[in-house]
Amino acid sequence: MQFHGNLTEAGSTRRVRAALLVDEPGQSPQTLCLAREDDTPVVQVSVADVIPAIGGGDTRLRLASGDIFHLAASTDSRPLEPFFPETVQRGAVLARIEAVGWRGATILAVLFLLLIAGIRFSIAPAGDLLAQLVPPHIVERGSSMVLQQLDTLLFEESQLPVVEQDRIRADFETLLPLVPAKFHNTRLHFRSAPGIGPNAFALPGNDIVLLDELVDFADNDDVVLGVLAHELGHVVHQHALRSVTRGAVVAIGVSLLVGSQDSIFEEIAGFGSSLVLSRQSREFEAEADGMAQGWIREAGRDKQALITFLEKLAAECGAMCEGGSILDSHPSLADRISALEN
Amino acid sequence: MTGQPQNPFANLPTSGQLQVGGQGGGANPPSGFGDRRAINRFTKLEFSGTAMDLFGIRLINIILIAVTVGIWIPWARVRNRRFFYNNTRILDDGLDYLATGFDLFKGWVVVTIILLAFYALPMLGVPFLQEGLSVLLLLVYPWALNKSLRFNARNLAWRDVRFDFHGSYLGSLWNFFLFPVIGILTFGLLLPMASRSMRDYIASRYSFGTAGFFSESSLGAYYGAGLKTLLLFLALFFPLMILLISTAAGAIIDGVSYAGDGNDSSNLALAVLNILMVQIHPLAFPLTLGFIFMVTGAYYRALTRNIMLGSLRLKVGVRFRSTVSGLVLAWIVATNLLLVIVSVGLLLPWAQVRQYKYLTENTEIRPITELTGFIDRQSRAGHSVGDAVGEAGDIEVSF
Repeated sequence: MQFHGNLTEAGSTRRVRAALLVDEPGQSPQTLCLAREDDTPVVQVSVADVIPAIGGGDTRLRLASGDIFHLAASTDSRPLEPFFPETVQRGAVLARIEAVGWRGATILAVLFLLLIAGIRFSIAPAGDLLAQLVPPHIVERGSSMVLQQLDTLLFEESQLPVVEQDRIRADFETLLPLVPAKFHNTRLHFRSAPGIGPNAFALPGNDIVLLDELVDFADNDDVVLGVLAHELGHVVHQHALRSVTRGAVVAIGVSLLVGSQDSIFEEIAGFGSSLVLSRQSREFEAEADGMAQGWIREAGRDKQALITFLEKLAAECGAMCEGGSILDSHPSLADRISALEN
Repeated sequence: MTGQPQNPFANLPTSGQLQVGGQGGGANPPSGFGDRRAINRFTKLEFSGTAMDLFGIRLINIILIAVTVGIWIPWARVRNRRFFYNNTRILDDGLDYLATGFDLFKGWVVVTIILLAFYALPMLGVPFLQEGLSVLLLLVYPWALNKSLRFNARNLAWRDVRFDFHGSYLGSLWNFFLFPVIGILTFGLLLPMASRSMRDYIASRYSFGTAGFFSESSLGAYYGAGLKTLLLFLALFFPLMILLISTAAGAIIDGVSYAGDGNDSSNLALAVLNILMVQIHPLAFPLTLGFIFMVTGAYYRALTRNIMLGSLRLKVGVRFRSTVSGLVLAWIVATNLLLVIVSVGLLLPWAQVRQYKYLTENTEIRPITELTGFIDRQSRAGHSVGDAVGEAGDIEVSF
């Protein structure tokens, strides 16, 4: 058999037409010979290394002499394989699997779509499982690190008088007996952040941050308690931690799908998954609202307060912070109010 | 005694090397011997890969990455690159990408360890340690970029001669980071100058074996490209703004006031804002603007690519030419993006092959002698872990 191709001399661009010969008349069995067009006598050769063809490219064989023999991809090189070093065989197998026909491509396309769907629907369960696997002391550590970072970058010390802080804290602690024992040590931190406005946060651990701006914005203690109950809902359901772990699952999924790709398509995949995460965040908010309303009722406090607060927020802020679109982390204020009223 | 078969070329008429001219009578020589015929004329590069090939490679990669929990990624990258390079044929010979997945993997391990250490820093409790080191990492960037470019150049061979890249730290810092930023800060006034500086820098730092590349393009040509791009941007942007403003003005004439007691112009601005943010979607404007930037960016890239390749020389006078049309490339980029999104990524291989093939097949090479005189530099350092570290930093400059 003759395998025609090009022979490039080692370390140069000098090239000549050549052929590898196997089982030709007069050739010793189990030998590989090289014939060059430019008159050099036929010599026996051995193959040192092979880079298998990919797509329509050439197979690159490095001979023991250092010269390179390029074999067209259309050539069936299987009779040559016994002369290849053993490690090469695996690559050749891979190349053969990759050369799918229309039927194979269809099967792979279906698999690909299933994989995307699989990743989409495993974000929540896999992320939540991951959250459960994180040891509690790591969560606590992380939570205090987040607070430290926020203190450096965003927060200022609270200007609330100690008396007022104590009153709010005492109020807050009436809610704690209502939640599972694991969360009885939930800490309340007072901070100020004029740039953020009236807000409160739940951190990944058992930490809640209340901003002075919210206390100023609220008309009475029942409103503040309503907001704190909402944040406590986040803590009890570990929403912050689960957002982080779900985000990690998304990051892993995106890198699996487009990990070896152009960055622009990674951006697109990232954008698509942020839609999923926003949607789940809105579900978290609704869940926290629901929990808060239950505890407020159990504590015998004004369950209208949270509704009043959201209405005031809607009135003062206008359409700009209405929320609820596919990209928002919070449901629309109107939806939250009507959900709370029912 | 070892038997040697007969040389199958012995009885054939010789071709290629001894053939005179290109159009000589008789049968065409088998493919692969266009060298002589290519002398002193431009020959297009070819691309022999198909979207179907890439589709198979890509999906098998995804499955292997999933099965190996990501460890396959370096190997996947290599197969991806090999597909594009191996199928890029210059005068009938494909490029060879010589790096192995394991070479890349070694770099990844080093980078992963560095990053893990970096993210674990706050555990030490030293304030501002991480912030300080972030600045340091930023300073490492030009160095890593040079390493990455060198790694990929040294692992790329045509016939048996490899490319190389010799970047300097300051050169890369200036051309890849500082000058483009200055270009943007001057509202684009210096951007064509920055593009020219960067493209010429990249070109003249590459070498093929012992032969260097060289490029000195005209600044005027870059400003011409910049001006055309600006015109295209305005042509796309203006109709949009006019539509928006006229709708807003229409709403005001209908008696809707947005500014309370404000004057007319602030009322109009608020109306525009209202239509954009509330009536359409808060993201509609940024996304549209981003899309226009992408299209005009592709247009500008095409024009500057043509300029750079037109002035590129390889020692001994090999010339190049790029005949990419800015509008066609912009069209390809825009439609690719839409098709990829609509097909949830399924058409990505097709889109990539389409764009790459268009660029490759509109690139031409013009040798002045047979390209047999190039010699490899014989430095096998292209496999060093240090170079692979830059590569693993995920930094790439498309050439």
